[in-house]
Amino acid sequence: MIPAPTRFQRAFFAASPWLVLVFALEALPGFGPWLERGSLTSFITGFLPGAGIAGLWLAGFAVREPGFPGWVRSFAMGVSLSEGVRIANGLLFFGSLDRAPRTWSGFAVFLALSLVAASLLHRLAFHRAESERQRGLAEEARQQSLRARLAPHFLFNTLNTLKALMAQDPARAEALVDQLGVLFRQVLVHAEAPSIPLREELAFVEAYLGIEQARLGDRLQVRIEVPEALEACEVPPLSLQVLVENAVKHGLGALERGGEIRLRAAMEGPDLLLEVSDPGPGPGAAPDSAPGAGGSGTALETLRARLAAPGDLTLARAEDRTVATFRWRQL
Amino acid sequence: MIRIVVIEDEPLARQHLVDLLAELPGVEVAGDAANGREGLALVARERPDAVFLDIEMPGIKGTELMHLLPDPRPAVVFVTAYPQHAVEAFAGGAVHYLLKPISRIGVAQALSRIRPKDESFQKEWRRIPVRRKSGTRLLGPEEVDALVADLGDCQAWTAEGRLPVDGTLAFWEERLKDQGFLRVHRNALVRLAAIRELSAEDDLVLPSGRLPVSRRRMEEVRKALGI
Repeated sequence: MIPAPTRFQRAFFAASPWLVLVFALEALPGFGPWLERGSLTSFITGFLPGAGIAGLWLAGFAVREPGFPGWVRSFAMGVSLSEGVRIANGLLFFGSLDRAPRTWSGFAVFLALSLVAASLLHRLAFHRAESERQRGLAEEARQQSLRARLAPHFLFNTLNTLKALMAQDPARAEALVDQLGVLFRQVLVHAEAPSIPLREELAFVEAYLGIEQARLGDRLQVRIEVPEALEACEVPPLSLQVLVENAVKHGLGALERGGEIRLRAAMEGPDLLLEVSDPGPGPGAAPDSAPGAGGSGTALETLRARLAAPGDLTLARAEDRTVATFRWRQL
Repeated sequence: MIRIVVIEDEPLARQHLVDLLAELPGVEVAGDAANGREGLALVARERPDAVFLDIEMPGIKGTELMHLLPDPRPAVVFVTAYPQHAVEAFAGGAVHYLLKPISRIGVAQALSRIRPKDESFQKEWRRIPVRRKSGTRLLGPEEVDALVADLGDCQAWTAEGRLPVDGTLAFWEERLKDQGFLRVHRNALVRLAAIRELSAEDDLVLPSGRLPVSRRRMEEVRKALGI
Protein backbone atom coordinates (compact mmCIF):
# COMPACT_ATOMS: atom_id res chain seq x y z
CA MET A 1 0.00 0.00 0.00
CA ILE A 2 1.25 3.43 -0.94
CA PRO A 3 0.95 5.97 1.86
CA ALA A 4 -0.95 9.14 1.03
CA PRO A 5 1.49 11.91 0.04
CA THR A 6 2.17 14.58 2.61
CA ARG A 7 1.24 18.17 1.93
CA PHE A 8 4.89 18.94 1.08
CA GLN A 9 5.06 16.05 -1.39
CA ARG A 10 1.86 17.10 -3.10
CA ALA A 11 3.16 20.66 -3.37
CA PHE A 12 6.39 19.35 -4.88
CA PHE A 13 4.56 17.17 -7.41
CA ALA A 14 2.34 20.06 -8.42
CA ALA A 15 5.32 22.37 -8.77
CA SER A 16 7.58 20.01 -10.73
CA PRO A 17 6.38 20.87 -14.29
CA TRP A 18 6.89 24.54 -13.53
CA LEU A 19 10.34 23.87 -12.15
CA VAL A 20 11.27 21.98 -15.32
CA LEU A 21 9.95 24.81 -17.51
CA VAL A 22 11.93 27.49 -15.68
CA PHE A 23 15.02 25.31 -15.67
CA ALA A 24 14.69 24.75 -19.43
CA LEU A 25 14.14 28.43 -20.19
CA GLU A 26 17.11 29.51 -18.14
CA ALA A 27 19.24 26.79 -19.64
CA LEU A 28 18.48 27.67 -23.29
CA PRO A 29 21.41 29.40 -25.00
CA GLY A 30 20.71 33.07 -25.45
CA PHE A 31 18.03 33.09 -22.82
CA GLY A 32 19.76 32.50 -19.60
CA PRO A 33 23.22 31.01 -19.88
CA TRP A 34 23.81 30.79 -16.18
CA LEU A 35 25.64 27.53 -16.76
CA GLU A 36 28.36 29.41 -18.65
CA ARG A 37 28.88 31.82 -15.82
CA GLY A 38 28.44 28.84 -13.64
CA SER A 39 28.98 30.56 -10.35
CA LEU A 40 27.14 29.61 -7.19
CA THR A 41 26.11 33.27 -6.79
CA SER A 42 24.32 33.38 -10.12
CA PHE A 43 22.64 30.09 -9.33
CA ILE A 44 21.28 31.24 -6.01
CA THR A 45 20.33 34.79 -6.97
CA GLY A 46 18.99 34.01 -10.41
CA PHE A 47 17.58 30.56 -10.44
CA LEU A 48 16.21 30.06 -6.97
CA PRO A 49 13.85 33.02 -6.82
CA GLY A 50 12.54 32.34 -10.29
CA ALA A 51 12.06 28.63 -10.15
CA GLY A 52 11.67 27.80 -6.53
CA ILE A 53 9.37 30.52 -5.39
CA ALA A 54 7.32 30.73 -8.54
CA GLY A 55 6.97 26.99 -8.34
CA LEU A 56 5.78 27.32 -4.80
CA TRP A 57 3.22 29.87 -5.90
CA LEU A 58 1.88 27.44 -8.47
CA ALA A 59 1.94 24.78 -5.82
CA GLY A 60 -0.07 26.96 -3.53
CA PHE A 61 -2.75 27.18 -6.17
CA ALA A 62 -2.51 23.54 -7.11
CA VAL A 63 -2.79 22.27 -3.58
CA ARG A 64 -5.65 24.60 -2.64
CA GLU A 65 -5.81 23.23 0.79
CA PRO A 66 -7.78 25.05 3.43
CA GLY A 67 -4.90 24.50 5.84
CA PHE A 68 -2.24 25.85 3.47
CA PRO A 69 -0.79 28.91 5.27
CA GLY A 70 -2.09 32.06 3.60
CA TRP A 71 1.15 34.00 4.13
CA VAL A 72 3.18 31.38 2.20
CA ARG A 73 0.90 31.76 -0.77
CA SER A 74 0.97 35.52 -0.54
CA PHE A 75 4.76 35.51 -0.32
CA ALA A 76 5.04 33.11 -3.25
CA MET A 77 2.70 35.28 -5.29
CA GLY A 78 4.71 38.39 -4.40
CA VAL A 79 7.99 36.76 -5.36
CA SER A 80 6.52 35.49 -8.60
CA LEU A 81 5.23 38.94 -9.41
CA SER A 82 8.65 40.57 -9.05
CA GLU A 83 10.28 37.64 -10.85
CA GLY A 84 7.79 38.16 -13.67
CA VAL A 85 8.71 41.82 -13.82
CA ARG A 86 12.41 40.89 -13.90
CA ILE A 87 11.97 38.44 -16.77
CA ALA A 88 9.73 40.84 -18.72
CA ASN A 89 12.29 43.61 -18.18
CA GLY A 90 15.08 41.41 -19.52
CA LEU A 91 13.10 40.28 -22.56
CA LEU A 92 11.66 43.70 -23.48
CA PHE A 93 14.65 45.92 -23.02
CA PHE A 94 17.57 43.57 -23.52
CA GLY A 95 16.09 40.83 -25.61
CA SER A 96 17.48 38.29 -23.26
CA LEU A 97 17.19 37.02 -19.74
CA ASP A 98 20.93 37.39 -19.64
CA ARG A 99 20.75 41.05 -18.66
CA ALA A 100 18.58 40.48 -15.67
CA PRO A 101 20.35 41.30 -12.43
CA ARG A 102 22.29 38.41 -11.05
CA THR A 103 24.20 40.05 -8.31
CA TRP A 104 23.61 40.03 -4.55
CA SER A 105 22.46 43.66 -4.65
CA GLY A 106 20.04 42.85 -7.44
CA PHE A 107 18.84 39.92 -5.39
CA ALA A 108 18.27 42.23 -2.39
CA VAL A 109 16.18 44.65 -4.48
CA PHE A 110 14.28 41.72 -5.87
CA LEU A 111 13.63 40.33 -2.39
CA ALA A 112 12.45 43.73 -1.07
CA LEU A 113 10.11 44.16 -4.03
CA SER A 114 8.77 40.67 -3.40
CA LEU A 115 8.08 41.40 0.25
CA VAL A 116 6.21 44.61 -0.53
CA ALA A 117 4.13 42.86 -3.17
CA ALA A 118 3.58 39.94 -0.83
CA SER A 119 2.34 42.07 2.05
CA LEU A 120 -0.03 43.97 -0.26
CA LEU A 121 -1.41 40.74 -1.66
CA HIS A 122 -1.71 39.27 1.79
CA ARG A 123 -3.66 42.25 3.04
CA LEU A 124 -6.00 42.00 0.08
CA ALA A 125 -6.55 38.28 0.64
CA PHE A 126 -7.10 38.87 4.35
CA HIS A 127 -9.72 41.53 3.71
CA ARG A 128 -11.52 39.35 1.23
CA ALA A 129 -11.53 36.40 3.62
CA GLU A 130 -12.64 38.63 6.49
CA SER A 131 -15.58 40.13 4.62
CA GLU A 132 -16.57 36.64 3.49
CA ARG A 133 -16.42 35.44 7.09
CA GLN A 134 -18.51 38.41 8.24
CA ARG A 135 -21.12 37.66 5.58
CA GLY A 136 -21.27 34.06 6.73
CA LEU A 137 -21.65 35.07 10.37
CA ALA A 138 -24.35 37.63 9.57
CA GLU A 139 -26.21 34.91 7.72
CA GLU A 140 -25.74 32.55 10.66
CA ALA A 141 -27.13 35.20 13.02
CA ARG A 142 -30.13 35.67 10.75
CA GLN A 143 -30.77 31.93 10.67
CA GLN A 144 -30.50 31.68 14.44
CA SER A 145 -32.93 34.54 14.87
CA LEU A 146 -35.32 32.92 12.43
CA ARG A 147 -35.07 29.61 14.28
CA ALA A 148 -35.80 31.42 17.54
CA ARG A 149 -38.90 33.01 15.97
CA LEU A 150 -40.07 29.63 14.74
CA ALA A 151 -39.30 27.80 17.98
CA PRO A 152 -42.56 26.38 19.39
CA HIS A 153 -42.14 28.24 22.66
CA PHE A 154 -42.13 31.61 20.91
CA LEU A 155 -44.40 30.97 17.94
CA PHE A 156 -47.21 29.01 19.54
CA ASN A 157 -47.26 31.06 22.73
CA THR A 158 -47.45 34.21 20.61
CA LEU A 159 -50.29 32.78 18.53
CA ASN A 160 -52.04 31.82 21.75
CA THR A 161 -51.61 35.37 23.04
CA LEU A 162 -52.94 36.69 19.75
CA LYS A 163 -56.02 34.50 20.11
CA ALA A 164 -56.59 35.71 23.67
CA LEU A 165 -56.23 39.35 22.56
CA MET A 166 -58.68 38.90 19.69
CA ALA A 167 -61.35 38.13 22.26
CA GLN A 168 -60.25 40.51 25.01
CA ASP A 169 -58.64 43.48 23.27
CA PRO A 170 -58.85 43.56 19.46
CA ALA A 171 -56.87 46.81 19.16
CA ARG A 172 -53.91 45.23 20.94
CA ALA A 173 -54.31 42.12 18.80
CA GLU A 174 -53.85 44.34 15.77
CA ALA A 175 -50.71 45.90 17.27
CA LEU A 176 -49.34 42.43 17.97
CA VAL A 177 -49.79 41.43 14.34
CA ASP A 178 -47.88 44.55 13.27
CA GLN A 179 -45.05 43.70 15.65
CA LEU A 180 -44.90 40.15 14.36
CA GLY A 181 -44.67 41.59 10.85
CA VAL A 182 -41.66 43.76 11.81
CA LEU A 183 -39.98 40.80 13.49
CA PHE A 184 -40.36 38.37 10.62
CA ARG A 185 -39.48 40.93 7.96
CA GLN A 186 -36.17 41.60 9.64
CA VAL A 187 -35.16 37.94 9.78
CA LEU A 188 -36.59 36.92 6.41
CA VAL A 189 -35.24 39.78 4.33
CA HIS A 190 -31.63 38.98 3.62
CA ALA A 191 -29.57 41.83 5.04
CA GLU A 192 -26.49 42.40 2.87
CA ALA A 193 -25.18 45.34 4.87
CA PRO A 194 -22.55 44.49 7.52
CA SER A 195 -24.12 47.11 9.78
CA ILE A 196 -27.37 49.06 10.11
CA PRO A 197 -28.30 52.25 12.01
CA LEU A 198 -28.97 51.67 15.70
CA ARG A 199 -32.39 53.25 15.08
CA GLU A 200 -33.40 50.27 12.90
CA GLU A 201 -32.03 47.69 15.31
CA LEU A 202 -33.93 49.40 18.14
CA ALA A 203 -37.21 49.31 16.19
CA PHE A 204 -36.73 45.59 15.76
CA VAL A 205 -35.87 45.05 19.42
CA GLU A 206 -38.91 47.11 20.49
CA ALA A 207 -41.21 44.99 18.34
CA TYR A 208 -39.77 41.87 19.93
CA LEU A 209 -40.12 43.27 23.44
CA GLY A 210 -43.68 44.37 22.66
CA ILE A 211 -44.62 40.80 21.84
CA GLU A 212 -42.89 39.39 24.91
CA GLN A 213 -44.60 42.01 27.06
CA ALA A 214 -48.01 41.06 25.66
CA ARG A 215 -47.22 37.49 26.70
CA LEU A 216 -45.53 38.06 30.06
CA GLY A 217 -47.54 41.09 31.17
CA ASP A 218 -46.19 42.84 34.28
CA ARG A 219 -43.38 40.33 34.58
CA LEU A 220 -41.50 42.17 31.84
CA GLN A 221 -40.57 45.80 32.43
CA VAL A 222 -38.38 47.60 29.93
CA ARG A 223 -36.25 50.72 30.24
CA ILE A 224 -34.46 51.98 27.14
CA GLU A 225 -31.82 54.67 27.69
CA VAL A 226 -30.41 55.48 24.30
CA PRO A 227 -29.47 59.13 23.62
CA GLU A 228 -31.10 60.26 20.40
CA ALA A 229 -27.75 61.44 19.08
CA LEU A 230 -26.51 57.85 19.08
CA GLU A 231 -29.40 56.45 17.08
CA ALA A 232 -27.53 57.14 13.85
CA CYS A 233 -24.60 54.97 14.98
CA GLU A 234 -24.00 51.74 13.12
CA VAL A 235 -24.40 48.28 14.66
CA PRO A 236 -24.32 44.78 13.16
CA PRO A 237 -27.89 43.67 12.35
CA LEU A 238 -29.44 41.40 15.01
CA SER A 239 -26.67 42.16 17.52
CA LEU A 240 -28.61 44.05 20.18
CA GLN A 241 -31.46 41.62 19.56
CA VAL A 242 -29.29 38.70 20.69
CA LEU A 243 -28.53 40.35 24.03
CA VAL A 244 -32.12 41.42 24.63
CA GLU A 245 -33.48 38.00 23.78
CA ASN A 246 -30.96 36.38 26.09
CA ALA A 247 -31.99 38.72 28.89
CA VAL A 248 -35.67 37.83 28.43
CA LYS A 249 -35.13 34.10 28.01
CA HIS A 250 -32.47 33.41 30.61
CA GLY A 251 -32.73 36.52 32.79
CA LEU A 252 -36.49 36.81 33.29
CA GLY A 253 -37.38 33.26 32.33
CA ALA A 254 -36.25 31.96 35.70
CA LEU A 255 -37.94 34.63 37.81
CA GLU A 256 -41.52 34.20 38.96
CA ARG A 257 -41.89 37.90 39.67
CA GLY A 258 -40.11 39.01 36.53
CA GLY A 259 -38.21 42.28 36.51
CA GLU A 260 -36.78 45.09 34.45
CA ILE A 261 -34.61 44.83 31.38
CA ARG A 262 -32.42 47.86 30.84
CA LEU A 263 -30.87 48.88 27.60
CA ARG A 264 -28.15 51.54 27.40
CA ALA A 265 -25.94 53.02 24.72
CA ALA A 266 -22.83 55.21 25.10
CA MET A 267 -19.76 56.22 23.15
CA GLU A 268 -16.29 55.28 24.38
CA GLY A 269 -13.71 56.85 22.12
CA PRO A 270 -14.42 55.63 18.60
CA ASP A 271 -16.53 52.69 19.89
CA LEU A 272 -20.24 52.46 20.50
CA LEU A 273 -20.96 50.56 23.72
CA LEU A 274 -24.29 48.78 24.01
CA GLU A 275 -25.35 47.36 27.34
CA VAL A 276 -28.29 45.11 28.20
CA SER A 277 -28.91 44.11 31.80
CA ASP A 278 -31.45 41.86 33.51
CA PRO A 279 -32.18 40.89 37.12
CA GLY A 280 -31.70 37.18 36.40
CA PRO A 281 -29.35 34.70 38.06
CA GLY A 282 -26.65 35.22 35.43
CA PRO A 283 -24.79 33.02 32.95
CA GLY A 284 -24.37 29.40 33.85
CA ALA A 285 -27.21 29.45 36.37
CA ALA A 286 -29.90 28.26 33.98
CA PRO A 287 -28.95 25.76 31.30
CA ASP A 288 -30.84 26.20 28.06
CA SER A 289 -33.04 23.13 28.22
CA ALA A 290 -36.09 24.18 26.19
CA PRO A 291 -36.30 21.92 23.14
CA GLY A 292 -35.95 23.75 19.87
CA ALA A 293 -34.44 26.78 21.53
CA GLY A 294 -30.89 25.99 20.51
CA GLY A 295 -29.70 25.22 17.01
CA SER A 296 -26.10 25.00 15.98
CA GLY A 297 -24.19 27.04 18.53
CA THR A 298 -25.66 29.85 20.55
CA ALA A 299 -26.56 33.22 19.16
CA LEU A 300 -24.21 34.74 21.72
CA GLU A 301 -21.23 32.82 20.30
CA THR A 302 -22.10 33.97 16.81
CA LEU A 303 -22.27 37.58 17.98
CA ARG A 304 -18.87 37.23 19.67
CA ALA A 305 -17.36 35.94 16.43
CA ARG A 306 -18.82 38.88 14.52
CA LEU A 307 -17.09 41.45 16.72
CA ALA A 308 -13.53 42.65 16.07
CA ALA A 309 -12.10 40.87 19.13
CA PRO A 310 -13.55 38.18 21.42
CA GLY A 311 -13.16 40.61 24.35
CA ASP A 312 -15.56 43.05 22.69
CA LEU A 313 -18.45 41.08 24.19
CA THR A 314 -18.54 40.75 27.96
CA LEU A 315 -20.94 39.20 30.46
CA ALA A 316 -20.65 40.41 34.04
CA ARG A 317 -22.54 40.65 37.32
CA ALA A 318 -23.18 44.07 38.82
CA GLU A 319 -25.59 44.99 41.66
CA ASP A 320 -27.44 41.69 41.41
CA ARG A 321 -27.95 42.12 37.71
CA THR A 322 -26.47 40.32 34.73
CA VAL A 323 -24.89 42.84 32.38
CA ALA A 324 -24.02 42.02 28.78
CA THR A 325 -22.00 44.59 26.86
CA PHE A 326 -20.55 44.77 23.39
CA ARG A 327 -18.55 47.38 21.52
CA TRP A 328 -18.58 48.21 17.84
CA ARG A 329 -16.11 50.53 16.14
CA GLN A 330 -17.74 53.55 14.43
CA LEU A 331 -16.16 54.50 11.12
CA MET B 1 -70.18 19.92 37.58
CA ILE B 2 -66.42 19.80 37.03
CA ARG B 3 -64.33 22.15 39.19
CA ILE B 4 -61.15 23.29 37.51
CA VAL B 5 -58.01 25.20 38.49
CA VAL B 6 -55.86 26.88 35.82
CA ILE B 7 -52.10 27.31 36.38
CA GLU B 8 -50.39 29.35 33.66
CA ASP B 9 -47.73 32.05 33.93
CA GLU B 10 -48.77 34.27 31.01
CA PRO B 11 -51.66 36.49 32.13
CA LEU B 12 -53.44 36.77 28.77
CA ALA B 13 -53.12 33.07 28.04
CA ARG B 14 -54.40 32.34 31.55
CA GLN B 15 -57.44 34.59 31.15
CA HIS B 16 -58.14 33.12 27.72
CA LEU B 17 -58.12 29.57 29.04
CA VAL B 18 -60.32 30.57 32.00
CA ASP B 19 -62.77 32.22 29.58
CA LEU B 20 -62.86 29.17 27.30
CA LEU B 21 -63.55 26.90 30.27
CA ALA B 22 -66.08 29.20 31.94
CA GLU B 23 -68.31 29.46 28.89
CA LEU B 24 -68.79 25.69 28.86
CA PRO B 25 -71.75 24.10 30.58
CA GLY B 26 -71.01 21.92 33.58
CA VAL B 27 -67.69 23.61 34.26
CA GLU B 28 -66.75 25.81 37.16
CA VAL B 29 -63.36 27.53 37.26
CA ALA B 30 -62.42 27.39 40.94
CA GLY B 31 -59.44 29.68 40.52
CA ASP B 32 -56.26 30.46 38.58
CA ALA B 33 -52.63 30.91 39.50
CA ALA B 34 -49.61 32.50 37.80
CA ASN B 35 -46.96 30.03 38.98
CA GLY B 36 -46.41 26.63 40.49
CA ARG B 37 -46.08 27.80 44.07
CA GLU B 38 -49.37 29.71 44.07
CA GLY B 39 -50.93 26.91 42.07
CA LEU B 40 -50.13 24.26 44.66
CA ALA B 41 -51.64 26.39 47.44
CA LEU B 42 -54.74 26.97 45.32
CA VAL B 43 -55.16 23.25 44.59
CA ALA B 44 -54.73 22.40 48.29
CA ARG B 45 -57.41 24.92 49.18
CA GLU B 46 -59.95 24.34 46.39
CA ARG B 47 -59.57 20.57 45.86
CA PRO B 48 -60.57 20.78 42.18
CA ASP B 49 -61.49 17.81 39.97
CA ALA B 50 -58.98 18.85 37.34
CA VAL B 51 -55.97 21.10 36.84
CA PHE B 52 -55.08 22.72 33.52
CA LEU B 53 -51.34 23.10 33.84
CA ASP B 54 -48.83 25.03 31.71
CA ILE B 55 -45.50 23.22 31.35
CA GLU B 56 -43.05 26.04 30.66
CA MET B 57 -43.21 28.22 33.76
CA PRO B 58 -40.60 30.06 35.83
CA GLY B 59 -39.77 28.25 39.06
CA ILE B 60 -41.54 24.90 39.19
CA LYS B 61 -42.19 23.41 35.75
CA GLY B 62 -45.62 21.92 35.05
CA THR B 63 -44.20 18.42 34.66
CA GLU B 64 -42.57 18.69 38.10
CA LEU B 65 -45.65 20.24 39.66
CA MET B 66 -47.80 17.29 38.59
CA HIS B 67 -45.96 15.04 41.05
CA LEU B 68 -46.38 17.53 43.89
CA LEU B 69 -50.20 17.68 43.66
CA PRO B 70 -51.92 16.57 46.88
CA ASP B 71 -53.99 13.37 47.08
CA PRO B 72 -56.61 12.70 45.88
CA ARG B 73 -54.80 13.90 42.83
CA PRO B 74 -56.93 15.96 40.44
CA ALA B 75 -56.93 15.02 36.75
CA VAL B 76 -54.11 16.86 34.98
CA VAL B 77 -54.40 18.42 31.54
CA PHE B 78 -51.14 19.89 30.28
CA VAL B 79 -51.04 23.06 28.24
CA THR B 80 -47.91 23.40 26.13
CA ALA B 81 -46.40 24.78 22.95
CA TYR B 82 -44.33 21.62 22.48
CA PRO B 83 -45.80 18.39 21.13
CA GLN B 84 -42.59 16.68 22.35
CA HIS B 85 -43.85 17.03 25.90
CA ALA B 86 -46.77 14.68 25.28
CA VAL B 87 -44.83 11.51 26.04
CA GLU B 88 -43.57 12.85 29.35
CA ALA B 89 -47.06 14.13 30.17
CA PHE B 90 -48.79 10.79 29.66
CA ALA B 91 -45.99 8.90 31.40
CA GLY B 92 -46.65 11.07 34.43
CA GLY B 93 -50.35 10.22 34.39
CA ALA B 94 -51.88 13.24 32.65
CA VAL B 95 -55.30 12.60 31.09
CA HIS B 96 -54.74 14.89 28.14
CA TYR B 97 -52.64 17.71 26.83
CA LEU B 98 -53.58 20.83 24.93
CA LEU B 99 -51.34 22.34 22.29
CA LYS B 100 -51.08 26.10 22.02
CA PRO B 101 -52.69 27.97 20.42
CA ILE B 102 -55.58 26.57 22.41
CA SER B 103 -58.86 25.91 20.62
CA ARG B 104 -62.36 25.54 22.07
CA ILE B 105 -62.51 22.09 20.63
CA GLY B 106 -59.27 21.10 22.30
CA VAL B 107 -60.67 22.20 25.63
CA ALA B 108 -63.85 20.22 24.91
CA GLN B 109 -61.86 17.09 24.11
CA ALA B 110 -59.86 17.45 27.30
CA LEU B 111 -63.05 17.69 29.36
CA SER B 112 -64.57 14.62 27.75
CA ARG B 113 -61.38 12.76 28.75
CA ILE B 114 -61.72 13.89 32.34
CA ARG B 115 -65.27 12.54 32.70
CA PRO B 116 -65.77 9.88 30.05
CA LYS B 117 -68.48 8.10 32.06
CA ASP B 118 -70.41 11.09 33.35
CA GLU B 119 -73.67 10.77 31.38
CA SER B 120 -75.06 14.18 32.23
CA PHE B 121 -71.79 15.79 31.36
CA GLN B 122 -71.49 13.92 28.07
CA LYS B 123 -75.01 15.05 27.22
CA GLU B 124 -74.08 18.66 27.90
CA TRP B 125 -71.15 18.04 25.67
CA ARG B 126 -73.27 17.30 22.67
CA ARG B 127 -74.30 20.92 22.61
CA ILE B 128 -72.69 22.77 19.76
CA PRO B 129 -70.87 26.04 20.47
CA VAL B 130 -71.30 28.54 17.63
CA ARG B 131 -69.33 31.77 17.44
CA ARG B 132 -71.29 34.97 17.16
CA LYS B 133 -70.27 38.59 17.44
CA SER B 134 -72.01 38.81 20.80
CA GLY B 135 -70.13 35.74 22.07
CA THR B 136 -70.39 32.00 21.92
CA ARG B 137 -73.85 30.43 21.91
CA LEU B 138 -74.57 26.84 22.71
CA LEU B 139 -77.05 25.12 20.45
CA GLY B 140 -78.82 21.88 21.23
CA PRO B 141 -78.50 19.32 18.46
CA GLU B 142 -82.18 19.85 17.62
CA GLU B 143 -81.49 23.48 16.76
CA VAL B 144 -79.03 22.53 14.04
CA ASP B 145 -80.14 21.23 10.62
CA ALA B 146 -76.70 20.34 9.39
CA LEU B 147 -72.98 20.85 9.90
CA VAL B 148 -71.17 21.68 6.68
CA ALA B 149 -67.43 21.92 6.16
CA ASP B 150 -66.12 24.48 3.72
CA LEU B 151 -62.36 24.83 3.21
CA GLY B 152 -61.66 23.62 6.72
CA ASP B 153 -64.24 25.93 8.24
CA CYS B 154 -67.17 24.16 9.86
CA GLN B 155 -70.59 25.84 9.76
CA ALA B 156 -73.82 25.05 11.54
CA TRP B 157 -76.92 25.53 9.39
CA THR B 158 -79.60 26.91 11.69
CA ALA B 159 -82.85 28.85 11.52
CA GLU B 160 -80.74 31.93 12.29
CA GLY B 161 -78.43 31.34 9.36
CA ARG B 162 -75.04 29.72 8.95
CA LEU B 163 -72.83 30.11 11.99
CA PRO B 164 -69.15 29.13 12.39
CA VAL B 165 -68.38 26.16 14.63
CA ASP B 166 -64.98 25.00 15.93
CA GLY B 167 -63.68 21.55 15.15
CA THR B 168 -63.65 19.25 12.19
CA LEU B 169 -66.61 17.43 10.71
CA ALA B 170 -65.09 14.11 11.78
CA PHE B 171 -65.02 15.34 15.37
CA TRP B 172 -68.70 16.31 15.24
CA GLU B 173 -69.69 13.12 13.47
CA GLU B 174 -68.18 11.15 16.34
CA ARG B 175 -69.99 13.27 18.91
CA LEU B 176 -73.39 13.45 17.22
CA LYS B 177 -73.78 10.10 15.48
CA ASP B 178 -76.12 8.79 18.18
CA GLN B 179 -78.08 12.05 18.13
CA GLY B 180 -79.75 11.34 14.79
CA PHE B 181 -77.04 12.90 12.63
CA LEU B 182 -75.77 11.22 9.49
CA ARG B 183 -72.90 11.93 7.11
CA VAL B 184 -74.50 12.48 3.68
CA HIS B 185 -71.50 13.86 1.87
CA ARG B 186 -67.76 14.15 2.40
CA ASN B 187 -68.37 17.65 3.79
CA ALA B 188 -71.85 17.48 5.29
CA LEU B 189 -73.41 16.04 8.42
CA VAL B 190 -77.23 16.23 8.48
CA ARG B 191 -79.79 15.83 11.26
CA LEU B 192 -82.21 13.31 9.78
CA ALA B 193 -85.23 14.83 11.53
CA ALA B 194 -84.56 18.16 9.77
CA ILE B 195 -84.90 16.67 6.29
CA ARG B 196 -88.09 17.86 4.56
CA GLU B 197 -87.66 16.32 1.16
CA LEU B 198 -85.37 14.26 -1.03
CA SER B 199 -85.53 16.05 -4.38
CA ALA B 200 -85.49 14.47 -7.83
CA GLU B 201 -81.86 15.65 -8.21
CA ASP B 202 -80.96 13.68 -5.05
CA ASP B 203 -80.64 16.87 -3.00
CA LEU B 204 -81.75 16.98 0.59
CA VAL B 205 -84.09 19.89 1.26
CA LEU B 206 -83.67 21.35 4.73
CA PRO B 207 -85.38 24.41 6.24
CA SER B 208 -82.04 26.22 6.03
CA GLY B 209 -81.03 25.14 2.52
CA ARG B 210 -80.29 22.30 0.11
CA LEU B 211 -77.48 19.78 0.36
CA PRO B 212 -76.41 17.21 -2.21
CA VAL B 213 -76.05 13.55 -1.21
CA SER B 214 -73.00 11.74 -2.49
CA ARG B 215 -73.75 8.73 -4.67
CA ARG B 216 -71.74 6.48 -2.41
CA ARG B 217 -73.85 7.38 0.61
CA MET B 218 -77.23 7.48 -1.15
CA GLU B 219 -78.28 3.99 -0.12
CA GLU B 220 -77.44 4.63 3.53
CA VAL B 221 -79.41 7.89 3.50
CA ARG B 222 -82.46 6.22 1.93
CA LYS B 223 -82.32 3.44 4.48
CA ALA B 224 -82.07 5.89 7.37
CA LEU B 225 -85.06 7.81 6.02
CA GLY B 226 -87.05 4.62 5.42
CA ILE B 227 -87.57 5.22 1.67
